[in-house]
Amino acid sequence: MSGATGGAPAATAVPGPEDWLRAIAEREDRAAFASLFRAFAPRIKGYMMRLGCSAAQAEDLVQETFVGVWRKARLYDPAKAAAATWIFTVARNLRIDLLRRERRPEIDPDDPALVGDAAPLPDAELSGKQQAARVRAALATLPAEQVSVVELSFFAGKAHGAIAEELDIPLGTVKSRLRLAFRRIRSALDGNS
Amino acid sequence: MTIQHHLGDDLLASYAAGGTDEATGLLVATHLALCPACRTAVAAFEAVGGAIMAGCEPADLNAGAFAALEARLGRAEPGSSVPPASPAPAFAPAALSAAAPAIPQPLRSYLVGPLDRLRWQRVGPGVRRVPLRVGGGATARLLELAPGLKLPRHGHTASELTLVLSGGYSDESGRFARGDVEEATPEDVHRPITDPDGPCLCLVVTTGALRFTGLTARLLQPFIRL
Ligand SMILES: [Zn+2]
Repeated sequence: MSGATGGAPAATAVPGPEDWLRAIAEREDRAAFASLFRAFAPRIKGYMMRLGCSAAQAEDLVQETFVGVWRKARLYDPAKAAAATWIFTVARNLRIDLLRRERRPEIDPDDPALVGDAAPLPDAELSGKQQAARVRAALATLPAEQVSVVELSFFAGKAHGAIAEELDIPLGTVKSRLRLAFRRIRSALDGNS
Repeated sequence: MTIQHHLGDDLLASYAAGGTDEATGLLVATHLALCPACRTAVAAFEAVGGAIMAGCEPADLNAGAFAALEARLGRAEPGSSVPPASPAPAFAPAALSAAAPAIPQPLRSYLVGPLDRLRWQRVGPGVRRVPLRVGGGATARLLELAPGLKLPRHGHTASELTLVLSGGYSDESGRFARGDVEEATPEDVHRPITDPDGPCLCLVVTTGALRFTGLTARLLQPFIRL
C-alpha cells in the first residue's frame, strides 16, 4: 500500500503502441519507432513465416511494413483501430501487393457513394484499442477447438477443406465451429454481446 | 434502402485476413461501401488478425535489420509521400447518368469510364456484360439484364457471387436489390427474374463457367457465357 504505488502515475500513463504511433505522426519520433519495431517486428516475421513465406521474404515484408508504418502514421486513427490491428492491415496489404502482385480492393472513406452508418453504433465512442480488447476478450471465451479453426483460417488463408484435413475432423465440423466463432467475435462489436 | 442479403462471415473474415483473390475482394469491398453492418464485422475480424499477429511466436530478425530500416527513413518522411488509397478514378460518380445510382469505390476505379461508354458485349437476349480486368484466378464482370427478364434455370460449376448495383431480381432465395449479395454454390440451381421497372445491373464474380440446365438453356449455352 505505502511504497510501490504511492504517488506513482496511473498505469495508463505508460506509453503503448497507440502512443508510439501518435509520436511518429506528430514529431517523427525515432525512439517511439524503435519501441514499435521491438514490439512488433519479430511477431510480424513469425506471422509471415506461418503464412508460408521464406525467412528472407518475411524479413523483407517486415522492412516494408515498417517503412509503411513510418510513412502512413498520420493516417492512423486511434478511434477506428488498435495499433496492432492497424499494423496488421499494413502488413497484410503489403503481402498481397508484393507477393501475390494483386491489387487489394478497399473502400474509399471519402467516396460520395459510400453509404454511411444509419445511426451511430451503440459503441461508437469506444476507441479502437477498446474495440480490440473486446474482440480479444471474445476470443478468450471461445472453446479451444473454435480458436484453432479461426487461427488456421487466418494462417495461410487456409481453405476449410485444408483445415479439416489438418485437424482430421469433418468439413461440416470446421464450418460449424467457424460459424459459432465468427458470430461471437462479431457480437463483441455489435453492442449486443 | 435496407440490405437484406449480406456476405457470409467466412468471406468477410477471409477478406479481413487477406485471403480473398482480387475479384472476390472487389465484390466484398464494393458491398462494404454500401453496408455499414458488414464494415463493422470486418473491423472485428481485422482486430482478430491483429491479435493473432501480435500473439505469434516471434522470429529472430537479421542482425542490422533496424539499422537498415533507419537508413531508409530519411528518404521516407512520415506523411510526405502517402500514396493514394486507390488510383484516382477516371471520372467522378456524378458523371454517371442521373437515372442510375452511383457506382461506389473500389468498383468505380475498375471501370474505364461512365457506364454508357463501356464496351458492352451482347451475350444473349436482354443480357450484356463488361469483363473487368482483375488479377488472380477468379473472373469479375458487370452484367446488365433487361427489365422483366426470365433467365434460364441454371446451376454453377463453381461458386458465384452476385452483387446488385441497381434494379433488382428475384429467385428461389428471395428478392435482391442494390447492395444485396447472393452466394451460389455448385449445388444451387436458380432461375432469376428481373424486376419489371428497369434494368438490373450486377457485379458477378465466378471461379467457374455457368452451366445451364434444360433444353432452351442448352441452346443458349454457347451464347450466354454470363
Ligand atoms: Zn452487408
